[in-house]
Amino acid sequence: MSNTSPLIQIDNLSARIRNEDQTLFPLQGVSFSIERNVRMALVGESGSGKSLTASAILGMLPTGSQITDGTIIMNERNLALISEKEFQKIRGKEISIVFQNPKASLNPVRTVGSQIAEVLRVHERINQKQSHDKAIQLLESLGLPDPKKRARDYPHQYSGGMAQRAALAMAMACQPSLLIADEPTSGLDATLQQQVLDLLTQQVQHQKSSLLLITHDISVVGATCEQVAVMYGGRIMEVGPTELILRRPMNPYTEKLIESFSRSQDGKMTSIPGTVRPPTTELKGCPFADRCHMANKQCHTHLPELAPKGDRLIACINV
Amino acid sequence: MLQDQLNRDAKKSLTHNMKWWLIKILYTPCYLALAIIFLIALIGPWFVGDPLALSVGPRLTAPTLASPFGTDQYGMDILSRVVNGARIDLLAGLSAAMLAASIGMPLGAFAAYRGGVWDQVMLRTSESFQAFPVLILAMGAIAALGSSMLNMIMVIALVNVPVYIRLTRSAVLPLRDKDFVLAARCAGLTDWKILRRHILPNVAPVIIAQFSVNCAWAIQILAALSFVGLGVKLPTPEWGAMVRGGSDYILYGQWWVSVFPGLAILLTVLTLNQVADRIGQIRR
Repeated sequence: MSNTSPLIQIDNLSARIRNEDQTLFPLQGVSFSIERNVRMALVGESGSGKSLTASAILGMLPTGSQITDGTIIMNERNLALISEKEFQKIRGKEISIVFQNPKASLNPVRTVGSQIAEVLRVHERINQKQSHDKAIQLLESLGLPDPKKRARDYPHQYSGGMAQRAALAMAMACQPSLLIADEPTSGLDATLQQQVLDLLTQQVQHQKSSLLLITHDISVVGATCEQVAVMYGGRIMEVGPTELILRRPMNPYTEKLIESFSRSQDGKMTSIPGTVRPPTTELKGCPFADRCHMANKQCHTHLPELAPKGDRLIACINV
Repeated sequence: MLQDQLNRDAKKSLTHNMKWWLIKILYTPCYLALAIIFLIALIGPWFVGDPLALSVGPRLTAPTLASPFGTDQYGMDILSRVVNGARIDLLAGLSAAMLAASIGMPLGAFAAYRGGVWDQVMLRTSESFQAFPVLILAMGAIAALGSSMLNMIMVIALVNVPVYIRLTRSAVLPLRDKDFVLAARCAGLTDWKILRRHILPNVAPVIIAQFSVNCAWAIQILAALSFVGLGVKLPTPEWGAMVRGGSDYILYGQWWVSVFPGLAILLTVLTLNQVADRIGQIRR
């Protein structure tokens, strides 16, 4: 890995959600870092806390939840501690996000161009005209046909693929150093999935940004990302170069996750026995211990720390 | 070449669209009726006589060709008074509804967007206002403040503010968690900007429809207040006051004094409600 400090470093991040009747602990010591100019995937089942991690990075935790411990260091600032006002300057400018449903993330009653231009005006000192021209340029650079006319269109006049481009143009408008993509391919058919991922990769490379791709589908990771972090039960289980992790997973959870996405020799689909542990209590042992075929007594009582093993980091006491 | 063709097509479809809209608007009777009412209010008074001119001659004359709506007990021409009344009633109705909207809408949007304590305070306050029957509340306020035109407009606006608070609140609530609001927040927009540029444009159709209904209400309340003698006093050509002025004569057969201003109220309120219905339908 490079010698310079990582773009964003998350250390022991813990969060709590207080409802009327219960307290949840969705993040329990998440640690990983994203290098500059690198595409990283955050993979996990639903309920593993991956989306919440993204919300924490953006300072947009849902109401009732708060960060209880840990740091998110970016450019020598701790994002876990800064105010909403400071965050408004960071969002869209240094970190931005594209959502699962691009059409829903565009305002139906305003033209697409005006929405992109608005983001530009928030963060840059340019006037109305300049921002609109730049919005058209952005749409053009993303390969939208006839951008001048299209910028004056409303979101409902866009197709799904075009809306994806528009949403991406909005997110990349101010050349953020980190782009988060929250399940960008779920709900798309296979051909479109690849298109979207290619577009993301191309944009991120072009702008020299980093990408954090959040997905539950480990099969989309291979072609897109250089690094993978596997998350389960609010903790990181394994981090490392994609090739290495996908070829030779070492953490039993990663192994099972990859297995469940590929057919075994006899053509049967496999699944991980058991269900995801609801995050109602703080962890005492490994979050995966209840479902793990390798689990022993120690697994239930010792919280495995993320430790280097070769080129990767792994949290398991049995390997 | 191709680009030119495309541009031409785009222009053609634009003008085509505009024509289509124009046709749709003109052929919808309620819009046309509203336009006519406004036209009468705007330029009508120039075409009829002085609404306050007392006649030394015959009074309470039945409709004739010279005065199509007849004259009242002071010999004043009723047509002229109804036409001039349109100006007063519409102006009062519009300004009261506008005042109510401009107070209620931001408060409701703020309450919904912020939620929590602000929401509760706003809701409970508007509820306690709405606990009183509108007319009783307005009557009480007018009795206390005095019945100048400005007071009337302010009081009518005030009793309508809770309607806007609640309406805007309920329209904004489901929008608050929409992806595009989230996306706008993620793009670094401030709450104020999101409210103004992303949320309010989405609730505009509801508010505009309500505005139309509200104008009708305001005219009704104004007329009702004048009718019970709290509002505008008689020589002023206001529809409600005119209905009251003529009410003493209906039983003696001189129906035209009350009926024509009454019809004016009826038609105006009906039209405004129809328009509100139409606007309501536009939003699918």
